[in-house]
Amino acid sequence: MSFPPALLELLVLCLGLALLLVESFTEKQDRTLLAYIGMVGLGVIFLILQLLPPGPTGMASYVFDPVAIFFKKFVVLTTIIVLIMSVDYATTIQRFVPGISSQAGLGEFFAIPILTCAGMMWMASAIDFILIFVSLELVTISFYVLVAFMRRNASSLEAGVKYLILSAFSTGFFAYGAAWIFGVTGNTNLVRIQQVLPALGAENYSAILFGALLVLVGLGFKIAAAPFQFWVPDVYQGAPTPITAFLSVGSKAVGFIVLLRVVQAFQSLPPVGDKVVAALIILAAATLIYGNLAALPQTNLKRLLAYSSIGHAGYLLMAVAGISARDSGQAVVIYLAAYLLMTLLSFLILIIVSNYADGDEIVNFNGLSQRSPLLAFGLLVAMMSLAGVPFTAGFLGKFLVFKVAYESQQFVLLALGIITVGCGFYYYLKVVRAMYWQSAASNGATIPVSGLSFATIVLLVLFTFLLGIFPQMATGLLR
Amino acid sequence: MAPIVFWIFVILMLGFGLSVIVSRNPVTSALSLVVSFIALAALYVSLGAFFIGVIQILVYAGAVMVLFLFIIMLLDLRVEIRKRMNLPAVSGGTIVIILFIKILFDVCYSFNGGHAEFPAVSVATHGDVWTIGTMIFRYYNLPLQIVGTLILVASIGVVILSKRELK
Amino acid sequence: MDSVAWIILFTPLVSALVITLFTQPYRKLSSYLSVAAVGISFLFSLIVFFSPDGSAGFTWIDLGIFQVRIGYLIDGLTRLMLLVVSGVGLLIHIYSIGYMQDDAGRSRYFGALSLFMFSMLGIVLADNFIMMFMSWELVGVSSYLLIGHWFFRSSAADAANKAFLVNRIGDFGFMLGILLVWSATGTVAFTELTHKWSSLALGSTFMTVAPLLVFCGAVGKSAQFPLHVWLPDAMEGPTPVSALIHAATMVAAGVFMLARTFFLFEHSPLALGIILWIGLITSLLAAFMATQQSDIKRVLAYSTLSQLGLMVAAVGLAAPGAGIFHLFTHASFKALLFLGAGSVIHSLHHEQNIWHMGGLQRRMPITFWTFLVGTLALIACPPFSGFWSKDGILAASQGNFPAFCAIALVTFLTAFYMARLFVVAFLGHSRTEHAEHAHESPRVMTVPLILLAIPATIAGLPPIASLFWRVSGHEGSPATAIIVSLVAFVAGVLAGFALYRSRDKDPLNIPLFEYRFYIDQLYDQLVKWTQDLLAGICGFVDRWIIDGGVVRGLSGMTWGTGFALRFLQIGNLQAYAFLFGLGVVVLLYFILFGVP
Repeated sequence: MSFPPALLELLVLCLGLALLLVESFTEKQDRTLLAYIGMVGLGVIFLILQLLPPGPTGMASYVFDPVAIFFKKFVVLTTIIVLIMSVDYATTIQRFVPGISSQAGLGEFFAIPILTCAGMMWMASAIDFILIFVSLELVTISFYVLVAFMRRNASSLEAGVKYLILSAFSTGFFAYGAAWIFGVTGNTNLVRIQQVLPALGAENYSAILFGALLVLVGLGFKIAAAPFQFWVPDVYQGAPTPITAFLSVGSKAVGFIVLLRVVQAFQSLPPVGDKVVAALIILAAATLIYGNLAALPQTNLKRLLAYSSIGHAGYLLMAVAGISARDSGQAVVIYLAAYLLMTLLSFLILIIVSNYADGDEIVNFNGLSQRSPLLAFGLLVAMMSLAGVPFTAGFLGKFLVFKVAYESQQFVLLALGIITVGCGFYYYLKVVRAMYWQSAASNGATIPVSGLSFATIVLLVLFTFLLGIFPQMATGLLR
Repeated sequence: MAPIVFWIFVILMLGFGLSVIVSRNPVTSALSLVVSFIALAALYVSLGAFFIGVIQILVYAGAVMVLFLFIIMLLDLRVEIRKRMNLPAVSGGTIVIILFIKILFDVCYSFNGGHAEFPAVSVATHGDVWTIGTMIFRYYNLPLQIVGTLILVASIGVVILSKRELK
Repeated sequence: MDSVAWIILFTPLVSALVITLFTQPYRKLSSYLSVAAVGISFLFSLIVFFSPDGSAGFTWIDLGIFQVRIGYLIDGLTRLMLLVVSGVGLLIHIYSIGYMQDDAGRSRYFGALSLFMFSMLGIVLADNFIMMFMSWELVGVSSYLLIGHWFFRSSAADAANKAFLVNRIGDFGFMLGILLVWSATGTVAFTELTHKWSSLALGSTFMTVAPLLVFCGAVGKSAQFPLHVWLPDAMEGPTPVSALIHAATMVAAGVFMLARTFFLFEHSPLALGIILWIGLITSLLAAFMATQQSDIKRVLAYSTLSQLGLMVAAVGLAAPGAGIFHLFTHASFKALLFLGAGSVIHSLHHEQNIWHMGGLQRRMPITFWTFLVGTLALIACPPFSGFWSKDGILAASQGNFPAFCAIALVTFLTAFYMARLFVVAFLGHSRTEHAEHAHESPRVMTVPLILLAIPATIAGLPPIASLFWRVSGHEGSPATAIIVSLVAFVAGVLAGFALYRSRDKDPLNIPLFEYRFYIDQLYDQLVKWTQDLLAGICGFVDRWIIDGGVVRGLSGMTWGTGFALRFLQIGNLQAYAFLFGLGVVVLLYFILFGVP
């Protein structure tokens, strides 16, 4: 039986719609049931993805190559974990959403991420600017809603407005850039563009470059690259934490796959491709410096993670800038896989602890090792991996990125990368120090952890180590 | 089309576009936007894109603007309270815009000093409605479906974020 | 054959994992699991002992330019070390069941012990530098865990930290050495290196520095001067740990490593000379220190240091075979001595001061006799095992007169302080109540003593030694060596007896020895100074650079923007949009027109 891969997104879409329908036609049901249905449904999608071999799709704008499969799995997995977090976060949502019943809005809060997931899956396969654009917008618009979801919370609303306006700004650049590229090449399809480019005369170069750079700006916003990162700290901090995790993992990842495909397409015309790479180098350097330096003084874990997410975008950009190296794409993929594990792990634990301590300052984590050894250990692993300690997934990611930078002779970036890793140790260890060396403030009771979250934490920790100890596992991700 | 007509519509479009931003009265802004859209539609028509010109008027100048005006009336928005003109902010924004336009000009001039000949846009044998229909429903069917999803999500979002008490 | 080596290596790892993850609450089960694991390793080591040489492996991590292989190399050296490590390990595991009977952290203890066995066997089996280095580090970690087993005692926690930190210094050099060797030859596999190193045409400086850096690893792990300070403190750990890790096996890993990588050293006489004298200095200093200690475990610890120095000196004399032979005999008799000491400590309610003991020969006969065997072996009394191996080293040093004298002096001192220990702790009358009510330890502790006494007695005898010792045939020693060694031994024993028979306190009082030449104090002071200096620098960096420069710079930026914003009366959002737009324009301009 051949299963048309394009059906997958439609299935996810139907799942989301079905949840919305169930939500509107049942009254008394416990809404978390919807989240569980969503998780199971996405789990089935994940299994199907696992079984489907890459192959032709018969569509010009939609591919189903190993990279697409990896990113589809990536976003499905991310969505599942975001749903798990959302269940833990439901009490906070209820507090900030005005409603007649206590569960008002919860159903939508669980259903919209699934629709977002469908958009991200389309992006993973898209090789046509039009398809990229509409799926990107689907993702972005659903994030507007999700970021501002806690209406009674001023910072959530503010974050929503900021995200809306700045994102619209960046979308404008993206669309304008795509239009320029279309104008010069007569194509919106990246494969066709790649074929057409070498035949173009030199008078077109600055026009193509202009278009490509504008597209880069639009994508730079999505992946939070400096200098287009100003929204990140405020929006990350204001948004509901599961959505922050979703933004920093899912949204970033699909931004990177599009970036990879676009940058790859322009490599067929070296005079332009080289300048695109030069732009990437500048972005990567700025992002590395900004993300890591600004993270140093943070005392709020959520904000710290926001800055760290900028910093990690810098390392990923390093790998993209090394596109001339053979393993550039692989490095991005493996880095993102590691990033998924450690970032979601930190956010999951952040949600559990901050729910209990009513605050996400680092001070709230004081003495966590005595109160809840498992949570403390989980966060320790996440921080070690984020910092890049050997035998964790994060180390492998950084190692590959540095290797790519070395092979493509980006020595300045390499040096910057190594220096900023040092900065990273400083601020990640701050969290570890709070957990293990500071004594707990007042309530020394154990923090309750739901079974599902517990299992997720254990699995994430396990995979963080597995990926670090058996890197071959990671290189198999693209097969 | 005579260049003079082109320039008239361009000036109309940009002038009223500016008026949208500058004017303090929301109704004035909305109506300026209508004029700007109509001028844009005229430019489309002048390029031979009749269908897009018509749609531009129907959808933007018609439906969207009516919606805008309704909301403005319903909310009873007053004239914005006059703020002091803050020169640095305006100049900062203006500098960025001017620089961007400068870059744009430079890029345009790279085409043989702005005198490059472009191939004519191929006019479809069946008229532009047929061309656009084929494009959207045959070649770009999937993006169309995604736009549907997008609108669904957007409308759910509007309900969630604006309804007074959620059920 | 292939799977046998893997079983030896991985059984303890499985045991460590199972204990840590699942059987924490079941203390008995944990201990049996651990013993069973090392038992299996021992059985298979026996099989390997009678099997031919071999090697195999697989690539663990393959990242293109960087590969890590896990592989084993079995030759005479590996066979012997496998037997020593798993054999002594097995006995000490069994002994631990009795010794740690009442300990609440027994699961943790056995888990760490299993981890240690895994990593130690990893060092022994490794066929390349990377695997050896990783195991080397793991050994350090498990040693840290075991020294700090009673972490609630601050002295134990401090000792664990000290051991860990001092070892880091050595390991850093070791790592640099490995990197140098790798960069020069492009390989880390021992067999390949053996061929490539000798044909390497590099300057003699490199050929000296690289091996000496590798030697740094041994200096740390085998506690050679000047990094010897951690070993005596490490006696804070449970006594079986002192026996297994800090006497018989781990500290010998450095010597083993030197023997394994001897091909690096043999071309550099200067490197060998340095190794020889580091070994001899360690040996002499430790022997002097041992003469004035009153803690039974500390005396043994210093004697371990001293013997390790002799082994390293043997390598420096280009006779790694003699060093390994001494390692082999030393493992059995030193483990025996430590376990005997542990038995005494256990029955005297954790009394470790020898001046509070005495008169134990009747109350603890098995411990007494086995301890005597161990002592005789250590002080090189013929025909006990230590005599033969020490004689080998002495013979190897014959061409080098100063070294020969130093070794003879060490032999004399060894006999002296061991006689002192034995006389004070076991003979005479009981000086305290605990000593009077001492009783023999349970059988689970005495049986390992008896079993260890056997190799301590006979392992050196030429016919038996030749069975084990197939690496380089142990030739008969020249007569001078034997005579000098015998004279030193007799003189030492006599002096010890004469001075210490029926004494209640030490008639000698040499603070220099008692306070270990003030080396620890010196280091403490040094550490304190460097700490103060580092703390000063850190504080400076923290206050002026991070807080002042970076943070204040960034917050200054934020503040500046805030000020500008207030001045401009625009909200944050507009500022963001402005900066965004500015970023776009600058990027566009720079790339379009700026980059050539």
